[in-house]
Amino acid sequence: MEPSSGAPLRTHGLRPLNLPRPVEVDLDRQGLPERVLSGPPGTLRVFAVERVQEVWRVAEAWWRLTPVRRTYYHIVVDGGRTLILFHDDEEHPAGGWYEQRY
Amino acid sequence: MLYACLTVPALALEQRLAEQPALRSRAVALADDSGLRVAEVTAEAALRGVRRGITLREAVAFCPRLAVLEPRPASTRWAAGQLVEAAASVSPLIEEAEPGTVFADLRGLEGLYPQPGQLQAALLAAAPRELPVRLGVAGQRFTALVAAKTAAPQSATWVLEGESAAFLAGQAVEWLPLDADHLERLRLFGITSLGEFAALPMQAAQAQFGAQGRRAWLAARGEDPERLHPRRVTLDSVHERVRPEAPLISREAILQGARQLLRHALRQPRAAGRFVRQIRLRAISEDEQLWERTQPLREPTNDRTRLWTVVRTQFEYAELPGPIAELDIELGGLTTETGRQPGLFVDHLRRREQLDEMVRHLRMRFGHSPVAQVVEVEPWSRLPERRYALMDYDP
Repeated sequence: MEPSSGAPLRTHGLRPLNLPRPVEVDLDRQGLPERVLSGPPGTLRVFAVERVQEVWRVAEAWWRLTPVRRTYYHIVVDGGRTLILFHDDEEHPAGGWYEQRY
Repeated sequence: MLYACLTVPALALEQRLAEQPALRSRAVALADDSGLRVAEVTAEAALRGVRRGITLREAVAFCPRLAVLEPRPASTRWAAGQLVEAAASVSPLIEEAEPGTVFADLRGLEGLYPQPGQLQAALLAAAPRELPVRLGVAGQRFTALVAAKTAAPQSATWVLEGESAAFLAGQAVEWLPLDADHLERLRLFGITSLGEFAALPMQAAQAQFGAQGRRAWLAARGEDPERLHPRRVTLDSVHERVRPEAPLISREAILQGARQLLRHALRQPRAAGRFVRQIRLRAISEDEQLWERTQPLREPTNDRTRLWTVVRTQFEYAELPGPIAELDIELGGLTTETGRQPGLFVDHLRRREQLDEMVRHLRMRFGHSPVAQVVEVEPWSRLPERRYALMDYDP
């Protein structure tokens, strides 16, 4: 057997890009986003949702111990800006809201 | 044949006086390179007995109020170059006999300067105005030289064809192309004018002074056989120089001055549409110390930003000798090249090599590579955070 070289294992610092950013979301009676508290730290802003343009679901790695199930919302907020939010369906229904470019 | 001679007698001294005009009316001597003897004197100093070759101690004894200037070879060289460029702007065939004396062959220029006086005016107009330039025009080289030496500053003497011998007859023998000891011997013979020398039989002149004597005898008769030995002058550089009223002390002020010089240099008509291959920077401190840097460019450019980057870097890291009294910029190797043919892949490789070198440098400095690269991980993934990642760039 080849002896260990003693060199530390390196992952070459692989850092994922476009990680989800947690946001706070208020829901309306139908369970759709109504208000979103979003923005960079220190400049958080409340956006009122004008309409939801599209909803889609993503289910990945359902065969693994940590499956991924998300519901994405493409929304238009006041001022015409668009955001993409998703709810992590594996988490508690009240929390687990994130913003992410898709 | 028709020759022009542009000359500035005692160029090194005149250049210093041009920089300090207040001294022009005073008794001034220029020291030689060793700083021990007198190299040149003004007329005022000569009147008080100061002569070339005596020691500075003797000179001050003759004239206690004598102002002694140190030579500045770089400045003299620059002035001599200006004179060469002036002649070259009129005629393509020129010869610099010595710093401060330039001959030009005027054959074939009649079409360009048909009116009487136009040619002289063009030559004098092209010459540096701050120097007392004298112009002589004649059918022989030696006659043109004597005509120039005897002309008044900023004016011309034209010796017409057939009048050369008569013009020279009354001139001093000191102008003859003979060694100093030969001239001294002529003085001992009692021969003081060119006319007296020309009256000697040629064999006598030849017997006394050999081949030099023969040429001198012919020259004194207005029959100088010596031709021009022109060199190719390529007007491939532009100069700009500034002498601020107060010496520049702060680096910011020096950078501002340099920036202005670069702008002016690029505006010169000769630099229009041409690329620069080399930048030469000079700074002369208040106490006459010279700082000089020459920076060849990796490839010719006329991009002002890139040129400024080179100039700025040179001055930012320069250890200047003191407050700067004069700044000089020369954009050299001007080329008409306006395009280049890069290889399809070479440029990309070169950029990569440069980047790798820069990253190695940063890693050496900071202990780790602060540069990362974007890599595809699972670009097909439906989860956006799994598609791309940043990886440490480690060449």
